[in-house]
Amino acid sequence: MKRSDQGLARGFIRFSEASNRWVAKVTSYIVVIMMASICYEVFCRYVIESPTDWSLEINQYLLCALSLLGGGYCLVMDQHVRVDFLFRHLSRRRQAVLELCTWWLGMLFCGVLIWRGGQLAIEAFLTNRLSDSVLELPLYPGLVMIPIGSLLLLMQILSRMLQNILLLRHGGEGAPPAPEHTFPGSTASR
Amino acid sequence: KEYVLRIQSVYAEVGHGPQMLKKFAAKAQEYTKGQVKIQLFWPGQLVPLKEGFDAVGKGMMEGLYSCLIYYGGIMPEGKTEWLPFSWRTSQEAYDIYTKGGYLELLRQASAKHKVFYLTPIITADMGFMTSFPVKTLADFKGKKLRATGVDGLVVKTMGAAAVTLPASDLYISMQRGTVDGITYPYYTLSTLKLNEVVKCVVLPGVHTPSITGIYLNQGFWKSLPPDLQKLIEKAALEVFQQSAQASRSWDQEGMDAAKAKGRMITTLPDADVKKLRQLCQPLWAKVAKSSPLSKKMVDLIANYLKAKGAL
Amino acid sequence: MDATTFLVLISALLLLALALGLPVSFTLGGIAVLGVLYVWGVKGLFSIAQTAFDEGTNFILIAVPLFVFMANILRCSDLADDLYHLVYTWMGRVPGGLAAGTVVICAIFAAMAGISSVATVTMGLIALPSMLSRGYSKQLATGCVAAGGALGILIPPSVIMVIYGTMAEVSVGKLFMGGLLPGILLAAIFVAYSLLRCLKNPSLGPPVQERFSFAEKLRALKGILLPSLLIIVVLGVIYTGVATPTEAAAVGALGALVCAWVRRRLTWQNFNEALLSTLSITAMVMWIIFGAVAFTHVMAYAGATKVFQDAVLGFGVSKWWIFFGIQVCLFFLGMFLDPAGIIMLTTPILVPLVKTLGFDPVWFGVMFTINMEMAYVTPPFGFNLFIMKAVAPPEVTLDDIYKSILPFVGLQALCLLLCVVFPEIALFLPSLMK
Ligand code: NA
Ligand code: NA
Repeated sequence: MKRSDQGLARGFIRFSEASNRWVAKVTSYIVVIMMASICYEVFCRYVIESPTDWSLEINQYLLCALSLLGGGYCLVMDQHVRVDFLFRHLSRRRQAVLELCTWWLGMLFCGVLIWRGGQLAIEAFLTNRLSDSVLELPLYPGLVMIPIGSLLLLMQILSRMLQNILLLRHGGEGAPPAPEHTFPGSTASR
Repeated sequence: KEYVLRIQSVYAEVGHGPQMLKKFAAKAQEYTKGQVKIQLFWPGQLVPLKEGFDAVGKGMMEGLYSCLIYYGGIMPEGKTEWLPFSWRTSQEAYDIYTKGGYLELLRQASAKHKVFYLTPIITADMGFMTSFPVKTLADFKGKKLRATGVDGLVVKTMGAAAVTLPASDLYISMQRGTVDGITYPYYTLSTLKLNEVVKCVVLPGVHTPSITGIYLNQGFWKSLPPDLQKLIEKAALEVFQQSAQASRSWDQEGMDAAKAKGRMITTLPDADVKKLRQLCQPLWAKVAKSSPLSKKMVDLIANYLKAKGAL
Repeated sequence: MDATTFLVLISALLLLALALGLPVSFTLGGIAVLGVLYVWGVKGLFSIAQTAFDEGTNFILIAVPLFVFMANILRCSDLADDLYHLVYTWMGRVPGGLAAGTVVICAIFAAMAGISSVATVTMGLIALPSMLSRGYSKQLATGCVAAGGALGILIPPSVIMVIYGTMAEVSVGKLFMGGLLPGILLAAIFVAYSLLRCLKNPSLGPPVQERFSFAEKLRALKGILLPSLLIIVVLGVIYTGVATPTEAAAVGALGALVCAWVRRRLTWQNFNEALLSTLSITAMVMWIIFGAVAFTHVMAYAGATKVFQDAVLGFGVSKWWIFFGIQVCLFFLGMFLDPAGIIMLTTPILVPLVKTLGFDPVWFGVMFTINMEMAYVTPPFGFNLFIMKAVAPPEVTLDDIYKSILPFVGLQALCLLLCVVFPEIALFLPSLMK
């Protein structure tokens, strides 16, 4: 790999990680909105006896955004669960080779989601498809999360592939962290 | 040549509707002497519930057994099958579809989505079941009722609050008082053991009867030779007829289950029913506004009912 | 290629990709794409995207991020420290008392959170080092934390039961009630085991030398106050009908926030870390679901349900042998797969079969969940084991953890057997819900 290509690759790796982290930071607040809106719904129904007609549906859209947009960040944190009883006994170089051989399945999955999901979203937008509820919300804001979320994840998979290639070509630096089942907060102060 | 027709049902295999679907499959295969091979799939096996209509249009499977209210956001004309307080008996529904030309209009509407509306299948009456005693319409004021789609609007016009809950939470929500009532098919009093948690069954139902249907991929339908089309339509019509008769026994089953537990069965006074029908007219108008075809369909149903003196 | 060959081939491909360490979600999703292309053609690929949308907007799954968030907030509050202090002062002098007490705390956490990792992480961080430093055997100490943590999915609320209920169309409320007694039974079995082992051989769990005055013991009791309040709130809103089980997750999350705030542990940093971790775990679970459901569509389209049912029923053995076979299959799947993925893969095949055989779907759901308890802790792929490795002191190796869990897996199997012989354990409470 040429020096300039290497720089490009490292740039992409940084870009992918930064964008996924940024998206995650924003997206994670959806959890707060979900919690607050459902508690508000319970309050409205039980205390003032007049339930909202938007809570359920809004939360469905929010879950859709949360789960799809978080996929890339989950990979940044290396938390997509995997069976590693063979994998963890391999050297870093062999792990890199193995990942290069298998991770295209993940790219295939994301690619299909971007293609077909994008098509569904565009169709829903053009033909003004609505949900079947009283609210009759447009469907496209939910559907469009599929291509966006999958693109974020695809970028991160690509970046991981590049890291593996860099590791194989140039050694040490730029390699992905050894997959370990760490739990968030395990290194926290307490 | 052999044709494979894969139909996914959105209703679980044990339900009443799917029994009619199975009858249709058996008949169609018999009439076509096995030239059309029908494979049935159950909820979520091929495609998710909400996506069924789209999936049939796109040809991911050849057939769908479902009801059009789920896809009102895609094909607004489907909502005309679910107008609150429209036809009063399965016979009236049967007449409107076959003699009134309603089925033809529905086929025109679904063709725009590359779907061929093969046949309606009548399931059963659905209406209010509550955990409080009901004598008149006024008793509903201020209550929390679980209802989806158009029924939610009906609930609102009755002065009650419409709660949206997934069907899986129905039983426990009624039992624990999360909601005071639901609109659901009466036969679930027996099949889902709702008679354990329902105190009062309110007649007449909102949809008497409710309509499900078999929808086919347009391309698949057109690929069939005319003689096979005729045979399949014949099977479909027969099952439609049978379902009109069977639906009454399903309703009865629900009522029997309610009686067995000593539950109250209320028939609203005529004046209240008239008032309800009037209250629902703006909702009809709203559906009619959604497209020129919708308007034709709503008018067709309204004219039929006017002629019968029901409106 | 006939249906059976195709299914065998695609399953083999799945296992191979998993064994090579490809993330579970990519494996399921990628192979689903290949399968769709083969059996369905290019137009079938729509189903992959539609599945993602449908599952992404699945109302019942809304409980997942909320329970995870609740767990993360609990982890950063110091409720667990207080509870552990209580155990230490009251039970420290009994041989094995700390292990038994840890199991009890795990059970209490289980009643608050719907997932298994809450208690595993918190107790792994707090109880484990304390037990090890007091001469408890590595095996007993790590085993009781990993297995105790798994109680989180059996004692309600439970995300696994919510997912199972959705897939099997079983009342989630009934499943919750059904899991309560078996969960308490399993916790009791763990407690009895810890105490008995140490009674026979006190060197496994030597008594604490420190003595506490009665006043100190009483003071320690206040540690139970906030956790019990939270349990009462979560279970209470479900039981009194204020909220559905799904909504209870939101109420519980709010309750956990309040607890953390009362204890002055709700810093901005803790809050943001909890949110990000919730996002990551939710995405992990949901992407597995996207892949798994797409994969099950392929299996269904290829006729898996029929092949499987014919195969099982074709043996002509009694329904109890079939039940036993199912449990063994689930156990083996549990060694390699995550419980959420197992549910997606197996319920479309199992539930019709179970209904055909005349088993109560609620009871079967509880049996399923007890089996999934084992899945969390069986090597080689046991979620709780990995968590233990991540939080345990460095001298505890993965091999230690693998060894430590074996007796507890046996005890879980014992609990499963008890619930088979005495189905009332699982069915008594749901039968009251009338
Ligand atoms: Na729990
Ligand atoms: Na396992």
